[in-house]
Amino acid sequence: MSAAKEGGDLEAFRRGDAQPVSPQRIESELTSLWQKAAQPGRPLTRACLWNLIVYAGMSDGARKYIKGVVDEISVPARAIVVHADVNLPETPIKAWVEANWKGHAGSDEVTLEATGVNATRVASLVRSLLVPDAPTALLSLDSLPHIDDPLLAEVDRVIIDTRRLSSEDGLAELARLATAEPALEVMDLAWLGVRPLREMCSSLFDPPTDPSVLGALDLVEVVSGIVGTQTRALLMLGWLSSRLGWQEHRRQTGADGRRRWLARRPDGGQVTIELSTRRDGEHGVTACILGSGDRRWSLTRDTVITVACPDLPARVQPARSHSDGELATRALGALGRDPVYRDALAGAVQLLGALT
Amino acid sequence: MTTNPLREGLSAERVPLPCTMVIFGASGDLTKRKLVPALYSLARDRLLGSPFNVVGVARRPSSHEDFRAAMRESTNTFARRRPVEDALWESFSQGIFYSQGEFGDPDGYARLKAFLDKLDEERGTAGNRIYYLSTPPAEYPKIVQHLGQAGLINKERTGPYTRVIIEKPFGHDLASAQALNKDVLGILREDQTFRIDHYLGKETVQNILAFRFANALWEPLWNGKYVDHVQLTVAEAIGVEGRGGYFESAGILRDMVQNHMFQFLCLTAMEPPVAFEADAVRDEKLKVLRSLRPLPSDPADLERHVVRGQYGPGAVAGQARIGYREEKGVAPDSSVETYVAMNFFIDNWRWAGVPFYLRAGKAMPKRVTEIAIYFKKPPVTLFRRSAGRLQAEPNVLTLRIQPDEGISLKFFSKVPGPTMDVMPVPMEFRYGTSFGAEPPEAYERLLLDCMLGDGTLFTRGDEVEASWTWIDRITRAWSAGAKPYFPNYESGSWGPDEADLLIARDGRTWRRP
Repeated sequence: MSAAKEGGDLEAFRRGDAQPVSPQRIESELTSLWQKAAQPGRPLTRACLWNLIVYAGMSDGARKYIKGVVDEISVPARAIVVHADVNLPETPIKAWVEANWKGHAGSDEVTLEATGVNATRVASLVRSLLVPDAPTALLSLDSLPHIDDPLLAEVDRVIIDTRRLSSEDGLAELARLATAEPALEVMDLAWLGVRPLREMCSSLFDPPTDPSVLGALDLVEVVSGIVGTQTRALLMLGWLSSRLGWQEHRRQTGADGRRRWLARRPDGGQVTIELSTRRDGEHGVTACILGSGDRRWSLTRDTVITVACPDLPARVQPARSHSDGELATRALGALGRDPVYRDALAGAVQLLGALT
Repeated sequence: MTTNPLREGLSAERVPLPCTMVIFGASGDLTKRKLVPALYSLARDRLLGSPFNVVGVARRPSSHEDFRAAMRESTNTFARRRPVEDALWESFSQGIFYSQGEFGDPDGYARLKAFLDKLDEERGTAGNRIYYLSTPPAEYPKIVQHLGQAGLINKERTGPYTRVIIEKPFGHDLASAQALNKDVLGILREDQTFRIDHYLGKETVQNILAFRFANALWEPLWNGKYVDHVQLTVAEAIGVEGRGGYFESAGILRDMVQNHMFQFLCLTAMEPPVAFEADAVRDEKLKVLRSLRPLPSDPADLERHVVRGQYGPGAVAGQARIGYREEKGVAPDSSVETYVAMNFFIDNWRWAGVPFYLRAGKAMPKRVTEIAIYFKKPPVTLFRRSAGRLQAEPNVLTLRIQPDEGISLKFFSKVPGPTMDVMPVPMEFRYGTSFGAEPPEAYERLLLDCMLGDGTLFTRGDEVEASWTWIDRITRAWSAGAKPYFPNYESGSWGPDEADLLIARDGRTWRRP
């Protein structure tokens, strides 16, 4: 954020630089800057399809990261970026305004900074800045919004990233939030990231494969390319578990470093669920293998994804990675809604909470 | 478990069955430019069934390898996402094959059958077949007959499916369309027959339905009480571009109006269907075609409703252009029309008294396809300073099909200042920028729909016959009348003066898109 003098530096606004403003004058200052920026004979488009409240930390790293994500979001939105920390010494609320330009169209970005007791007052300021008739999303990538967050009542959609959770226990916290707010749309960048793999996994059981074989799976193994918090792999397993109706999960102890569970299928049979890691540089879910007897269906991600199933030729799909900004854009789209996510989350939490 | 529970919540909740698509006329431009690139894009988007085969059939000798190489090159040139990805192409192209054959040779079909059966066995395509007829229309009946005789068509509703995609034109007039329908439907069921009009695969054309029937706002206004008139325009900046021979036997009335423009007309004017399903939508389109008021059969009377034209030399976008009669394959005294404008009515409750104006032309100033709904003017003018403007410029809703796809609504707003002046301002929705997503090519959508057995965006046989019934009256009257005085408009202009008179007689003017 490169600050310019308070009162509105027009050229800086046209460049997309942040301008300090009085928190009480944000709306009027934005209106004034837009009107001045639209010169006679050179109209501008001020666009807003979403209100996007963004929670971000106070550190330089957190500021830089969230700025990169917000700048990359291609859906026109009024972004209200909030840096607040109630534990820091109290200072007056500070505010900056800027325009995010995408060609000739631009969107508002408001940055608010509040510490001490003022951090608890910033919600009222955010509420006053919401554009009427546009839906509101809350982007909180570094931490989950608290269940008592006063702004949750204003929000239609929460966008989080469970990959960035410090602990897998955060999944249970998220599930509690989702249960407490049944109407809230919850979008998880980790979940959006595994969507292509889920599509390919589903395609393994499209015709000519008889989908009833899914009811007889006795093995599922997900290989994760990371160590530590493995939310993507857990969501993938939770998804399979919930879609296929597996119940009564029991944790197994294994000496091979794998995490292993046993579950009961709807037909009473047993399925072994495994989560292992492969530390060779690929991140996220790198393989998913499903078995029934000696038959195997698999997705293996390398530079490409190889999709293999019994009796049919293997095929290859490109392996693509997406930036957080691209995933956040997707989370604001119509395709971002996914009714299956809550079930997958509950399935993942079930795995984590399973007793031995 | 009869359905795949893992599909729930994914963008493609229905996926096609494995199948083989056999393209007759595989050496032609359509295969290279549109069909194989579209199939590749579907593979890239994980929308194809698996396994999936493409078998190109054409007269010229070639090998599987050469055909694959040619298809890779053209996909690299024409696919929506370029260049092709090596690994994906490697996997996709393992299902591409070539079969040489004459379209009239029974032995060729026997060989084709043996080859397709072998592919089914080796690659697991389970006998599901789509035959794409990308050949001259005269070949259609012959190919379908031979496919039937060779046992390559399963007309039953059980077992592997057979579907046939037929490219336009579907006949040359009512009699030939009826004959084609008879030939095809002697071998296939109607729901196995997919008459393709690629305009219907365009997102913006499908959006006409979404715009009308997903928004309660418009439906109360979408009738003769509020609509003054409707203008449909398909303008092409190009001429016949080497297709002079074909165009001489068609003319723009057959080439553009009978199919593409009537489809826009139907989607614009139809009643809400009871469901978004193939026959429900096509039933409503058919009702529109059957409600078209017949035009006069007397050539002199017809001139008050239909104006035809032919482009002469001129310039389009600063480039000199020869006249139609100078084009290759065109007779020097040709009477074939390259422009047509008409007015007509739809005799039903919704549209009673609302004139529809339609024009289509080649060598126009620019390429544009649009539907413009002109609303009635305010009954009383409160703002006297702007009275002239308010009377001259009504609210107009424009559905732009191409290029710059989108929707625009023109309404009046007060001009900032101390006086009560009003002026029109546009409210714009642009497809290219509003979603941040690249729309699929028309052929991608249509090929996928055919694989899924969904005929909603394809034309039914009775629609084709109804449209020819109406068009035939015009062509018969033209044949009976005097030879037109052509050329009558300059390349790069908006058509002949008579077209302006046609709409001016009603106190209106054509849009300048």
